[in-house]
Amino acid sequence: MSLQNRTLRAGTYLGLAVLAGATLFPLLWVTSIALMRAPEAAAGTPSLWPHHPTLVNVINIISRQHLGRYFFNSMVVAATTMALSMLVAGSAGYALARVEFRGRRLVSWLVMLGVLIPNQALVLPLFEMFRTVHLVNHYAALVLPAAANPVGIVLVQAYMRGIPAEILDAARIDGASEWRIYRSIVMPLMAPMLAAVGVLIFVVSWNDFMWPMIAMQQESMQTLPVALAAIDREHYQDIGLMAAGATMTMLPMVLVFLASQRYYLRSVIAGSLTD
Amino acid sequence: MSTAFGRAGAVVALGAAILACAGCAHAPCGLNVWAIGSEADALERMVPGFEASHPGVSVCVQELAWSSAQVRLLSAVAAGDPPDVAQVGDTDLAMLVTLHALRPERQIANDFFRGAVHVTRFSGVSYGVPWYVDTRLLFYRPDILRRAGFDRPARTWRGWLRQMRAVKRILGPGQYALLAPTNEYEFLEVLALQQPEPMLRDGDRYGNFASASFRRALTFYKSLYEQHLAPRIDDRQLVNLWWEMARGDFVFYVSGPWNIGEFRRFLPPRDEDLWMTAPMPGPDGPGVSIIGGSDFVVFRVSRRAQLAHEFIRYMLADQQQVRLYELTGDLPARRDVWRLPPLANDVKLRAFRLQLERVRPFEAIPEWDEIMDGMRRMAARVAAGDASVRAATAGFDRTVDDWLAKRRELLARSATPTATSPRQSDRPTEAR
Amino acid sequence: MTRKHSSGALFVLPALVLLAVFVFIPLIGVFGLSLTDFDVYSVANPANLHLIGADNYWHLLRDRQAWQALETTLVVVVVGVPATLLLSLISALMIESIAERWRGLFRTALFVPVVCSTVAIAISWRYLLNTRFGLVNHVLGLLGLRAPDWLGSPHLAILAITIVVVWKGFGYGMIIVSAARKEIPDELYDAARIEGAGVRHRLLRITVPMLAPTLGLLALLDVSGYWQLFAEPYVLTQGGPLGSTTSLLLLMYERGFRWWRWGAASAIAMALTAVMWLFAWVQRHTRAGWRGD
Repeated sequence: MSLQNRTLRAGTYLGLAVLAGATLFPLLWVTSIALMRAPEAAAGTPSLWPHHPTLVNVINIISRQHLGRYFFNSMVVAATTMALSMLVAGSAGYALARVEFRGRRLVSWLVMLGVLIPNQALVLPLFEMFRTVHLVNHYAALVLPAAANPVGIVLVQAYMRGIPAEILDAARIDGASEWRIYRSIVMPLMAPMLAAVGVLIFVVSWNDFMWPMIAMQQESMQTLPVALAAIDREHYQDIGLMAAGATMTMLPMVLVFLASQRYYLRSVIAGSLTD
Repeated sequence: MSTAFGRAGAVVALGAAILACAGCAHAPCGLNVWAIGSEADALERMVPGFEASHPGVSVCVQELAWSSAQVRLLSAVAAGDPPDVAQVGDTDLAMLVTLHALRPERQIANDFFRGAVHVTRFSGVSYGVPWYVDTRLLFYRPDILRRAGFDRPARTWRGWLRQMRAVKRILGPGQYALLAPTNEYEFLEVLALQQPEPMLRDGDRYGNFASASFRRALTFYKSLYEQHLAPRIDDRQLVNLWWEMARGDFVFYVSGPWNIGEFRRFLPPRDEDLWMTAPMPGPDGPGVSIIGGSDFVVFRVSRRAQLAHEFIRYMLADQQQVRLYELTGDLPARRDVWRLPPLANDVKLRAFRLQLERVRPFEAIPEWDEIMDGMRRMAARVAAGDASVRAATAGFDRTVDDWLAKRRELLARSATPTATSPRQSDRPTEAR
Repeated sequence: MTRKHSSGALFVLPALVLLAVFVFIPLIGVFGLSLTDFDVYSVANPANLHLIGADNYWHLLRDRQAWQALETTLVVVVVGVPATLLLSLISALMIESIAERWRGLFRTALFVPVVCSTVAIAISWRYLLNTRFGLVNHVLGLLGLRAPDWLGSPHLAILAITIVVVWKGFGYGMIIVSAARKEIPDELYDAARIEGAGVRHRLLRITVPMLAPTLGLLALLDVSGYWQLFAEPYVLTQGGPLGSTTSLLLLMYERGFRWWRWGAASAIAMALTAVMWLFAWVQRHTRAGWRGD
């Protein structure tokens, strides 16, 4: 190996180590602050490490700020959104890729148009709609709009296009109903992609902020990030408390990510290969 | 794989059940009460006492967030579905009165702070019962002030300015005489209220910020930053203002009553003497300040008005007013309660007691919050040297006139019954 | 081959209904609202609602705050998107060039910020960037550099926010570029090596051109995301100092939900959507150009 190549290799590892340090450090530091006692957290010279670790901040944010309630809300919303959008994206993505029907091109085009509409620009009429049907402050207000996620449909559609049509055609010639084909052949085929879409939507839903803040005005119905931002407005000066809140909000997603990395990364990658 | 989908199906079913049940039956409420933030928590803890004295009545307290309370109340009124009783702050009252949503209230006590009652009145009729009150005044470091040669904070702008300059000389680098965060409007609002002319004119139809009065207030405000008596920072850049104040980074801070509790929460008891409160200085003598707080209102469509009034009466009894203070730090709206412990014994509360007698309400129109927010932005530009006082105030008047266009149109058609004589119908500012 | 089947419509029906109700009808709704003076008085009494044509748009044109918000959002897009693409590209190429067993570790480390809640991230960075107590300035001080007022200076604050946005976002692009890099046939590199092409030559003549379509798509995704900047300024700076970090979406939110001027807010939402489509159009045409060569 030439000297140039060896320097390049060493440089690559060094560069990656610096980048990884830059991404991980802020997260680790916040976790560390969460474990500090009040004076240490706001000392003129910041500490890297809690010299007298304490759980007081974590206990405070959970007990005094009802973090458990928000966690439950986030869980319900993210899980329901995930399940619903898997069902919706699965069937639509499959049909758009592999079933011929009148208006297919139009529907495909509409789905692509949906991708290009900045959904946060729609919150005003959405709020009015939900207010009219008295569903503001209900989980439905978060679940239903999030389940209308065109990206999920596009991902499944692209994935199904990659699966040879012959498999399905054989079943059709056997005279199986379209529904049976879907259940017994298509679903197992697209399971990996669906799982990936599911995890992606779970994470997006968990982290969503603007619409949940608008739709959930009752404190007991708020999701974790919304509640965290509200607590932040009142207690931003309590560094330890806010650091604990931030950590407790991020940690579940990091764990979900680590556990489902395989599926999650797949959906991210598939997203790049569409159209 | 079908089991995975079975599981997904189960999640959907569970989700659907939760969605469906979000509106499902609670125990029937004998009285619906909406309250905001920590006051809702406090109410919930006081409700059992009321229920004990009213057998068979169950009170449901619903908690709103400060940021969305107005939207919630408006939506509920528009939908014909408001609660029986609600805690209402600042501009919300003006809007609800405009909507004919509220019942006129009789005074249930004669020892309310006058300013607090004043702000519930529209065209001479009162639409709310003051629950707790709020104002802004000086928090300061008595020891540093003494080192600079002064016994107590000055009563006039001129004297105060002299004190701040003297204090600044004995402070270290990076330390300031005054903390006046540029993202808060209350301090400038107080300075402007201390002037003879109001901030809006012609029955709150037009902005009056180019007046000599407001320009005087803004010039004073600007000079504090120009002379480096106050840093140009917003409160997000503070890590912990109570420690910073204890360290001597700031000597004066204009703020509200909740900070008494916060100082005690963040500083150890031995540091109690490091901070004190004093009434606002004024242009030429003791200054007025703003009056804020929350009121109880009863909605017109409520069929339980009798019970609602009993509830309000219960919450305004001595014991409950003291309890509210203990739970939240909210200052009782009734003067007599201040003679009871622990309020009577607290030296830091005395300045609040004095200041609450010297308040001036602001213009009670729904646009007021937006106008104050705009004023804050305009003042920040002036303080940063990006615009002159004259140009900024003239430009801001045009903006305010734009915002008030619809109000003028409605007044012209006399579609709104709001009393409009300046400073008569006026309302306090936000309670937080 | 696929077969004509009427049940296809049934399969897409749920998706179509959801999209119609929660995307397309609201879009029409935003446009409709933008032509009215819908405000708090209209909530009180529908009789106070008027059609006012394009007035809200004319107002926007001479609204300082709106222009400032447009500029702010454009800065984040114009500075942030290329920075993100560059970081995504570099980190992906670096990861693809190291030993297999280390890849997973680095990939995970660089990707973690992507899955973290923006609100939590913004809170963390606010303490990191604090002028007087923050760790960033502490380190700069140790290096003998002057400590900048990150979130307090109107010029730096938007830059600080851009840094946070890029920091959180580049891992996503890294994964995508990584995948696309795998698709480039090794033969291309072998051939170039035989011809004696150096590392730089192979990077600029093979890797980057082959990745161009992917980078184009990534650019669109990043533009779409950054164009909807909201949570970072909401938490980090509340739009200040001096309005320098008020994004279009934050302005829309304030007009709509703080001041209840829905007509004016809807005009901002429409402008936001229109510019988004402009970006998509430009991207489509640029990418077609890339495909041509």
